[in-house]
Amino acid sequence: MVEIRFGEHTVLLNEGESVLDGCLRNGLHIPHGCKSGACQSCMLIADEGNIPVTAQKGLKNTEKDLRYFLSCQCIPQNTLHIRQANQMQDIQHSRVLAHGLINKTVLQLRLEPVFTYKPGQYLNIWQKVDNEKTECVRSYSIASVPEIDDFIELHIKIIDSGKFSQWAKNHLRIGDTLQLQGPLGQCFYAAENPEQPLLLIGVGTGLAPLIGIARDALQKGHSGKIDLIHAAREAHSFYLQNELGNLVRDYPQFNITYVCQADDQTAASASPYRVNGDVYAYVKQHFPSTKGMKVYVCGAASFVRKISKQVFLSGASSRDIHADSFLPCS
Amino acid sequence: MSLYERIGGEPAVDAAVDIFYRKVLADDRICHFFDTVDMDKQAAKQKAFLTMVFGGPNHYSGKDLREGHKHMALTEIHFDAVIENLAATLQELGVAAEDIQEIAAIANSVKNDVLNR
Repeated sequence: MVEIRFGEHTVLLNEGESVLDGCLRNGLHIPHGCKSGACQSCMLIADEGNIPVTAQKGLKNTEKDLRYFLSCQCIPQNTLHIRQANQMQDIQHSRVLAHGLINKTVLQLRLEPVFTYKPGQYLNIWQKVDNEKTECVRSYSIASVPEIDDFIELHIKIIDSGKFSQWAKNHLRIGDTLQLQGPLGQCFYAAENPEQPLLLIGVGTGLAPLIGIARDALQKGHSGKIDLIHAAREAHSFYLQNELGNLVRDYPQFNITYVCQADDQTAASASPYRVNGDVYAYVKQHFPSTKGMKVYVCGAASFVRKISKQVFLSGASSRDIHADSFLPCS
Repeated sequence: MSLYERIGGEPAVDAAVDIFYRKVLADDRICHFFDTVDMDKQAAKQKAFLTMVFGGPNHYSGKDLREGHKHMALTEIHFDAVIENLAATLQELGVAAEDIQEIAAIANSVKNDVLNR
């Protein structure tokens, strides 16, 4: 009999029984739907043990890397240690190594790397603000690359009435400790096809995960074209232009375009890579077919929804579209 | 040979998902139902739906279909739009006319559940 460990529970599977059925039979609650490997609602993570190939059929490579599997399709040969896919990791304490504004509205934070991660994943910061009265939890994407950078880099958008961002700008200092939880998310580079064209589209601090993904792909030897499109409302909102310019100089397969959504004629001449206009129209015009491309889109939820749909309708496979929506917090 | 095997099993479903979903998103009658949800989850749902209507292994009950569609206030027009897009997808994939009819019949068999009648 094959043994399944799920937290403090141990489940013994009957001959030919799936992990899902065995767990349900033992009264454990696992969300599930079609039981056919299609709806993916019964997805779990196996921290230890061999995951049968059939239990990962239809999952993205990024999900496979993270040891996700479909419990309804999983009939294991040996012991598996499993947990819920959305179960939160433990809190880690990380010191602030660098802290500074990189433009008017973006705070660049560099933190002690207290866990391994893939660039483009995100983490949660748990922090008490207002003299310990309010506990904030905020999610930020990771812009650094663990093999190159000896810090975790985050780009914090400063919001006028933002509890956490105002606190981080005004009170957080180098040497302070932050409580981190992560890494989370599946928006990262998976080196499955080094020749596949990559299209990276981000608005505002949506650049953070994308610059991480681009640098990660380049250092892993991605040879296909990588087009990064950074959109912002105003010209002064662009940032890390030197770093991006260096990537263009060093890697012929890498291109950057800044799309400035406000009609700012002076801005157009400020950078050879800058254009004025609407990001949706820009993508439509310059990438009329996204067939065969891998697309990463990051930014506000409304933008992510609209641009994901657009690149899907212009040919990208739904499996090749990775999205990271930034959600507002109260 | 079952209908599901005849049209090519799971690889056929995979090929149909994106074609079908593109048609649905381009259809003004129904695209708004699909606009607010995660693309990944939508693609997985389309796959489950197509597996069912292709006569493949599925565990949808009439109750699931009722629950899932209850809040959407669907009418005959919406249901027909889905069937049309489904038929167009199958034609594009070169599925035989009689198989398309059989698939449409499976889809029609759950109509009352989907429309909560």
